Amino acid sequence: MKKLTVGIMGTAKNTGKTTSTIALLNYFCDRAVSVGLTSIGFDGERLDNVTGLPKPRLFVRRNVLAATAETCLAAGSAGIRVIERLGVGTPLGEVICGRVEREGLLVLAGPNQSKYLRPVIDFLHRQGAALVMVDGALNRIVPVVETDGLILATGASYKQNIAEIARDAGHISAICNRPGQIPLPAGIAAAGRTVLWDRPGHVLADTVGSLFQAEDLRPLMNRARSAGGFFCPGVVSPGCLKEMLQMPFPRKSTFIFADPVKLIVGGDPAAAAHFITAVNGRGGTVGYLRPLPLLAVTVNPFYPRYRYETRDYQPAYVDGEELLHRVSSLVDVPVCDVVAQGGEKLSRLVEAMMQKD
Amino acid sequence: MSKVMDNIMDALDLETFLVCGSEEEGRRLTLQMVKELGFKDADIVFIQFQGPGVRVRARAYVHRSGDVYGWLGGEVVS
Amino acid sequence: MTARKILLVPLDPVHDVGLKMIRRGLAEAGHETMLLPPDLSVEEVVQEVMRTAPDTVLISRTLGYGVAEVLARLVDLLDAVGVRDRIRLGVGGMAVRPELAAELGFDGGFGPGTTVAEALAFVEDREYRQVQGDSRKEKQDFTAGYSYEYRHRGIREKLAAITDMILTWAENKTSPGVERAAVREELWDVDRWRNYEPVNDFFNAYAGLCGETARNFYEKGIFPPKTRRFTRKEVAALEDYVSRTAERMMAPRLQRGRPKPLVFNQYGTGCPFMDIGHIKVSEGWGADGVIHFDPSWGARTEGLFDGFLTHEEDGTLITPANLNRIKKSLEPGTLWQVRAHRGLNTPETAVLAGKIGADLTKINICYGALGAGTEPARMTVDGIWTIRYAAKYNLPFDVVTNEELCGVPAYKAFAGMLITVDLALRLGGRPVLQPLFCYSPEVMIGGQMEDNYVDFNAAKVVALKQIIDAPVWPGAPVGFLTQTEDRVQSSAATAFHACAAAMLGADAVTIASSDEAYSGGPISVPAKIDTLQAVKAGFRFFGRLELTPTRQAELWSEEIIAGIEDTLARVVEKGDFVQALYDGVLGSREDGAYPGRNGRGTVIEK
Repeated sequence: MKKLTVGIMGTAKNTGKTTSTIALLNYFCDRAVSVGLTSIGFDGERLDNVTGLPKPRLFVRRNVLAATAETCLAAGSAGIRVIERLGVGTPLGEVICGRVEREGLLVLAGPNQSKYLRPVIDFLHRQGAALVMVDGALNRIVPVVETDGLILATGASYKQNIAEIARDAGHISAICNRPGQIPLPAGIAAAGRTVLWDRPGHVLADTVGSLFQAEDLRPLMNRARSAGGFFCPGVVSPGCLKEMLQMPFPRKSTFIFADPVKLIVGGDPAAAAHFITAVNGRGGTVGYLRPLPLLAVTVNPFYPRYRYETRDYQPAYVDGEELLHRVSSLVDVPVCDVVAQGGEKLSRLVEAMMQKD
Repeated sequence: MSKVMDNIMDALDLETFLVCGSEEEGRRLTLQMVKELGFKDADIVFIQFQGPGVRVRARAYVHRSGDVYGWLGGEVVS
Repeated sequence: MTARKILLVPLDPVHDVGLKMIRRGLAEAGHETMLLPPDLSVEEVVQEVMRTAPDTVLISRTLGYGVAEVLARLVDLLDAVGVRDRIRLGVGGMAVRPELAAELGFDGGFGPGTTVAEALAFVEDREYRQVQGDSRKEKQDFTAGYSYEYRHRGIREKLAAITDMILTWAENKTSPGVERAAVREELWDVDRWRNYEPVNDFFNAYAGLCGETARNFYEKGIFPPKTRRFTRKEVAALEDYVSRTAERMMAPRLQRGRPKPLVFNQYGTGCPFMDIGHIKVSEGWGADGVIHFDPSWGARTEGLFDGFLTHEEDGTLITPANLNRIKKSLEPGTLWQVRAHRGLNTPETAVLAGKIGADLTKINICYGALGAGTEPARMTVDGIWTIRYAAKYNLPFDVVTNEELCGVPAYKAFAGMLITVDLALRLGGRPVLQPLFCYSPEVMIGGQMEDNYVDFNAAKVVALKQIIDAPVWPGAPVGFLTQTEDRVQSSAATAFHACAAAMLGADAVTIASSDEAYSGGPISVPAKIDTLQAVKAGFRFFGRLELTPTRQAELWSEEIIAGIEDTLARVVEKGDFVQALYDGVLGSREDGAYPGRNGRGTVIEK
């Protein structure tokens, strides 16, 4: 069985990240697969930090490996033997890695930056975890770049309009799964900057690494006509993507981005998906140095409804079946409602990934 | 007495304004109030009759010195 | 410290005042700060961070619907553009807590009421725990910096003569109290005792020097009334409580910018557990020091008890185990006073306080003899030894003047205080002057407080300052007989007195709880908080303002000084200090002072 790390990322708070994590955890524990757990946020607490509503609690069985902040150990009931302090700080203390010796509830708060997530994942694998799960935080996605694949949790907590939820999930699916992996051509050294090169592979122009405003693209403007390829190592805003489609790139140009997350984090998945479609339509190619496949989507009809009169939140739901149906029709990966259908479908999928090769 | 009382370090003060005609009446009403609330070890710390009634502070001791204190944790109490 | 570059980001639609205050504090500490305009988009903020390359980014944003997602996206963008690992990232605002900061991906989270010091610690990358509160209170020796030089020659000369007189008189005298103190000093080793090693030599020598009650305890195991030992379970629970509390303890300061006065309050519920409960509350709500009160009958009993004992009435027994447990529960910055000022165990109390590690004690021979019931000769012999032990154990002590409450006029009480002060200086001690700030019988009759409570109290401080360069600690507690059972009135009266003391330059002040005037039961913890809060509000209100004594205060201070000198002259004239106490020179029967009778006939000629 191959070692695998999956990231569970949400489009918003309360979209079901932890519920999906729990489903996977139980499935693999039942099958005696060694599981490692960490979080880029804060999970397992009784009440939500923002809404004050009850949250799913993380019950861990013996032998599960966990990387969590020191002060969280006392907050749960699980007995954890500390294996090593990982030298990664959080507002709740240093992250430690430990093994569950007495089953119970676990509060999880791990490394919250990409840079520190990698060594933590590696450590969990070295301790014997076959599957490492990284629970996300709110709508955060960037650290998930360090995983092998992404499970997207979305639902009514993101938007209450089912059509919009489905459309955005479809876009994220397109961004992650449509482009393939493309290495930089030999001889192109980007050094943290956005670069253009011509067909023979000579750098024509460069600009800043992350593209937020149209003027960031200006140094490339005059050379676009002669370009064969484009690479941006950083974030690209929706505005810049639109601008790039206006620039006189030749029809079969190649556009390489660092990873799909750099497009998603721009804040408008529709613009990124449209960019990919448009480039492909002109015979061009979009690719990533480092792909992040979307493995599955989970949907959650629950949302916390804010009441202005009382300034608090109450539980509310959209139509779960319609949500599942609409999202399934727009994404190219399996979709499940873990609460309504159970976690087996999702878990089998991850299991199949681990058995590949 | 409910469990939350265990967490009271020493005493619970009840402060209010009682509409009444004299300090004596206010005193009687206060002690009755404290009794009705279920407190046995109670006293009036402050009472002053002025205008339409009494400003009063009654006190119920939950843990006196030398008692077994609930706030030290469950072990001791049981 | 290297100067850091800090970008302050108000994500709210308007600038928040807190961020501007923190900016000022950071700039004053030598850091470079940049404040962005309010209401930028997260993309614009990220670009500013990239452009300015700060070491720290502090975001201010009130949490509300959908705000968490905005903040998370900001963190995500900073991570994606590759700057997240180069900055320390903090978020502050309503409802922000460390758990939320962790969830959002920040390095630190600051709720309302965050101080500049907290922000500074975060910016300078010091331990996060410390960032949560100012727990770095350190003990202060407020006697340091005083020369103890007399400024009044006549008084100095008379005190010198009296000190000679007392020391000569006492040279060949001892008492059971002095003997017990010597046994405690020589045969009771605190390290061996803490190690649970037997101290049999001590007990063998000690029990025989005790009075009946204590002897019965040692020889027959009979406990004093309403007293019992703690059970093992109780002790374990206490230890657990203390360690749990210590973990989350923060010790705030009441004084803000003002370095003094230190604020003391008293405990002595009878039960060391409840005392520890009270002490932790005092510390948590800003007291700088706590004072141990023992039961009044302890002053009349020859000999101290032993063991970890609880007592159902006011006053906590002085035993090694009780003191040791209390000492162990204190925050490192809390000053601890164990009073030895009166009664038959005065010298031994100083020895025990010294060995267990108290910071301060309390001694006054005249008050002990005239206001607290100890026979004057006995009190004098014992007092001298107490001062010696206090000097040996490096315990500064206040010289309390509570005989004023009996009706002794301030000038006589002060003359008595200065006699103990001069003896202390001769014997190497570090005394602290303790004028009583009170509505005393003297002023009730004399009318000095008919208009206000300030002038006469100011006169006391002015007089003392004109006599000697020594620390002043009004007490104990301030505001005696001005408080009523109404807690608002009581807290206000206490705060006004504490503020007057502060504005007169006092080094410390002892305050009561708002239960001060209530006699129907034990004082409660909320009542202690009442006055600490009131004093804090008072200190905030007056800041570093000074109180300039009025002409009236000056006139009264001159009267007090003249009265002191005259009283001392009469003691010199008597040629016998103990006789002077009996004859009412330092407080007469007409004043309301009666020479004590406890320990009568126990002074022994060697």
